[in-house]
Amino acid sequence: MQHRPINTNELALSELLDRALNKGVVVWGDATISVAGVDLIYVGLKVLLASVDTADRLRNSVQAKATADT
Amino acid sequence: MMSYVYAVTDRPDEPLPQQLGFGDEALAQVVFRDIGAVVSAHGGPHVPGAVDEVWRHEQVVESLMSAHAVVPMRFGTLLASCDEVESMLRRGYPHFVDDIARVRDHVEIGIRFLTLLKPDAALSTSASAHSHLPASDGIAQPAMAPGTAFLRTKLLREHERRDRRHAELELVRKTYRVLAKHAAASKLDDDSVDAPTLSAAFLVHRGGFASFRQLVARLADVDRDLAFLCTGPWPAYSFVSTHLSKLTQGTGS
Amino acid sequence: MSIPIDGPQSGAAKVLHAPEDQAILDRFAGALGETRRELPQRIATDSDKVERDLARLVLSVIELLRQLLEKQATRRVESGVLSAEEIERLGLTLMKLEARMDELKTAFGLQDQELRLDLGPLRDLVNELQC
Repeated sequence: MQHRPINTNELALSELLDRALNKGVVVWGDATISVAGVDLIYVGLKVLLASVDTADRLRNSVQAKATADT
Repeated sequence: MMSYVYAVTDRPDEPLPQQLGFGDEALAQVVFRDIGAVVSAHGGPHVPGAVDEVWRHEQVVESLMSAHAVVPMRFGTLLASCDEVESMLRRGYPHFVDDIARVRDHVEIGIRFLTLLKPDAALSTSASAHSHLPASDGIAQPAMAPGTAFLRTKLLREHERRDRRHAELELVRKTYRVLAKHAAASKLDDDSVDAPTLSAAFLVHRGGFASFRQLVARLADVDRDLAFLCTGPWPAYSFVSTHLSKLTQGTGS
Repeated sequence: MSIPIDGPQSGAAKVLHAPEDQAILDRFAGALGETRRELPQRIATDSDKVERDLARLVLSVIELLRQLLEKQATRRVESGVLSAEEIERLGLTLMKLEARMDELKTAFGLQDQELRLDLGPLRDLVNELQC
């Protein structure tokens, strides 16, 4: 939590980002158009994709274990 | 050289404003029929994501608004070449024309709502459904195994959040509907259960901007249950359909 | 009629109405602060920061998983298909998972707000998983 007085500049910036960034990152054909640091985010997304898979597997194995023990 | 696209406008014959783009590059236009994309040359496939750049993007878009109807592009809309830009205009032409007509002489005003509800206010219905949890009325509850208690608490919290969001939405909707009557178009984001604020966007005619602003102030003064954060005037980011991720999908029809 | 522009120096002109109460303003800023973190940062060159950023990324993913698992579990409890033993086992495991996550967060000095991921195009996929 912040305790210093909030700058209205910051509020305005956040509102601008909310508008200007929404759906703003684009993949165009083979070239990855990126905002600086977005490579990191795409790596993140790839990792996330793997993790969503893992989440699925984990969920299924929790379920399988739960039913196997009945 | 790549092309960074700031906006698509009508009246591409109008001279561009003196405004400079990223890296103080001059602005240029890529024209297709009666619409034009406002661009500047860009060195590499990366756009620095710093605060100054975002405001610069915004400055460029806004500088166009005195002479054009402006369809703003999202920050980071970077295309490989001018040919690609023209291709984008050609493929999206009917959508751009639609958007231009919608936004002409209009600006966007955003309002974020924060409900000032007391925590108990929303919970009267959910509390009774969870009588197995420790009650505040002092009635002893049977001991519950730890794992089970853990999950039941999570469940209760989830229900509380849902009920609270429902109550908040109802509160906001009343004000939202009043404001929506004074706008050409409006949107209320009621998607996320967890976000602490609710946000709305209004497309308002330039001429009605001042009175809309006054209406917001009046409503904010009167409302004891809601806090308002109102910002604008913005280019109509929330009311255009032509963001690049949409235009790159599908065939070139 | 032109739109007044206040450039990089001052966006304050964009605020048309704000609450006067500082505490309420803080709450708005806190909520909006989450958007700020999604603005891509420059790649860190300081090795400590790289490690911390990496930890943040990895823990964000793990945290997302953990929350997905919890949501699945509560959904299952609600639907009444689990036996008392199953519920207890599930609950204990998730309890340990939560405790472990707290340890990791403390070890890396990370707060909950720092571990939220903007899922972007994956949001729908994840929402589907939660049903």
